[in-house]
Amino acid sequence: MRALATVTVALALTGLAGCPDQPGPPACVVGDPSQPIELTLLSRDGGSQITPLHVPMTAVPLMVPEQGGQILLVGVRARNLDGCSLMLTTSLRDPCTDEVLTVERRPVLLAATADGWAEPAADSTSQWGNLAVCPNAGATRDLQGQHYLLRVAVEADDGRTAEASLEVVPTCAAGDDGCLCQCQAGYDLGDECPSGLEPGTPTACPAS
Amino acid sequence: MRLAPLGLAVALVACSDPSPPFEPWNLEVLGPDQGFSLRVPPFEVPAGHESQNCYFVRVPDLHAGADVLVDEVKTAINPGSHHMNVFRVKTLVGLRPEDGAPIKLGDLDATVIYGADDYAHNPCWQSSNWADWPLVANSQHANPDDPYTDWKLPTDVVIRFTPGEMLMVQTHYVNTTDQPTEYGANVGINFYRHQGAGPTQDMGTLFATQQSIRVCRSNPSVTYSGTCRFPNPVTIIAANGHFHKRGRQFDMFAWDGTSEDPPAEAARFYRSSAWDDPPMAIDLAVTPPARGGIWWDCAYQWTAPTVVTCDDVDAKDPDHAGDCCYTFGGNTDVGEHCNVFLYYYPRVESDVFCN
Repeated sequence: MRALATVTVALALTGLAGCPDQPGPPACVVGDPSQPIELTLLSRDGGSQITPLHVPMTAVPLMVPEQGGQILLVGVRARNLDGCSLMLTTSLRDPCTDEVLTVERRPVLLAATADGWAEPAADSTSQWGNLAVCPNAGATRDLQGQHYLLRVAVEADDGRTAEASLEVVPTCAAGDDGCLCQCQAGYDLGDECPSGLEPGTPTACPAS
Repeated sequence: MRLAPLGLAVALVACSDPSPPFEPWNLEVLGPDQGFSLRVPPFEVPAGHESQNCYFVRVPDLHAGADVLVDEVKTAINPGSHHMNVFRVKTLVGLRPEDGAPIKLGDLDATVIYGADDYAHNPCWQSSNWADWPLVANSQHANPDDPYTDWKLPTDVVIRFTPGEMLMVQTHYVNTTDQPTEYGANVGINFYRHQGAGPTQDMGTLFATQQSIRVCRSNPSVTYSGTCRFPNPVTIIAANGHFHKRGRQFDMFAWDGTSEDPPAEAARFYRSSAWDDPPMAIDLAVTPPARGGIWWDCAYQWTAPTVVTCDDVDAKDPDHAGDCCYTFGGNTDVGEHCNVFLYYYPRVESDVFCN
């Protein structure tokens, strides 16, 4: 199905048995760690609503974090791993230039769900990638309303890694002039932001 | 051995000998031909408390309305200072100059909002209030043996001010056992005018901050990383990193802007292992790849709070995990930071903020 996110998995064959002095699988293991890690992309909005990301060009909400600017909250739903000790790497790449606009790495915990998977708690912002998007002084196109390649990778304590990527459209909330302004190409830090900015729609990459 | 007791006694005397008295700093007051001086009036910080104040002052007109070009910044800061930052005031959100009390910063009229240690409510502690205020300069250096930082910019590189533009000087003092303010709070800043007549290049600044950090008792060793890109090819000339008591290592690297993997060690240009006196690298000449930027790593080791209790730390945790988790916040005993202060040239279009 074209709509599915691309998933690549790298599997290390060592270190899967857990600690010898701990009988049985650790409490945080979900699925079968002898199998490749499976994952799908998630995004979260400011209201703790989690949305799976399967369909290319999905609008992903930008939001204002505690320290200002505009971020995406993105993460993974995964299984066949220990969800209590993961390093999460998130990034946004401009498919028009192949440049990486922003990268973030952080330790996260994924909590087991009833269906045998694990995902970040909806109300815990620190367990999600806080991917800084706007402003970005290196951007050559608008940062919102346009398509960018979102990549999310996890690395487990045992060294196994997995990643998924999908083209998404970072999107300001309707009427959020501050977001629209900071996410414009050419925004200079401290610029006065006019009201009534239009969000625009995704366009093809400019001819080089 | 008859000499041994004497040697022991000498050693004990030496160990109990108080440190030499602090020599008050002395910073020349600049005339209009030399630049301009800011002097924060001395104040006391009660033991066991912190103090963050926001002072607003306008750049003076030194020469018939012409831009003020500065090529040297010198600070003198009494020990106990956690940071002193200067920003250009832009969008006003919750921190407004007109809400401050009148005060003098040396000869210049100013206003001040006293944040005291009300980190939960006072607007001087809420960093979203200055998210689009470009950084001008900062110092985290307030050593009792050497309270000065003398930062000379490279030849013909200048900080450009417009007469009348509003600056915010933010002081943060800590008076605890691990960062004592024994001699009172006192901050002086001199901005020295560029004296050359030839062409100059403007200095740009980069301020970056990591969102939603979390350092917990049950997961005590954690590292957070981020990136920030420049708008044009630049030379990095100075940098310093900022974290709090759990901070163990702050690294900055040149980043190529194309890779999602951490840069190689050879690309590292800054390291700090001291949360309470981080080095200010002022003689850098780092040129990241074109279309590149910087990558930083903030590594932490959980330790128990030294002034408050884990109950206080837990009360601030938005996740209410009960795991003594330090989260983003200005108070050094309760919160953590991962902030980059960096200076480069040329500034072409914009200063840089990465959240």
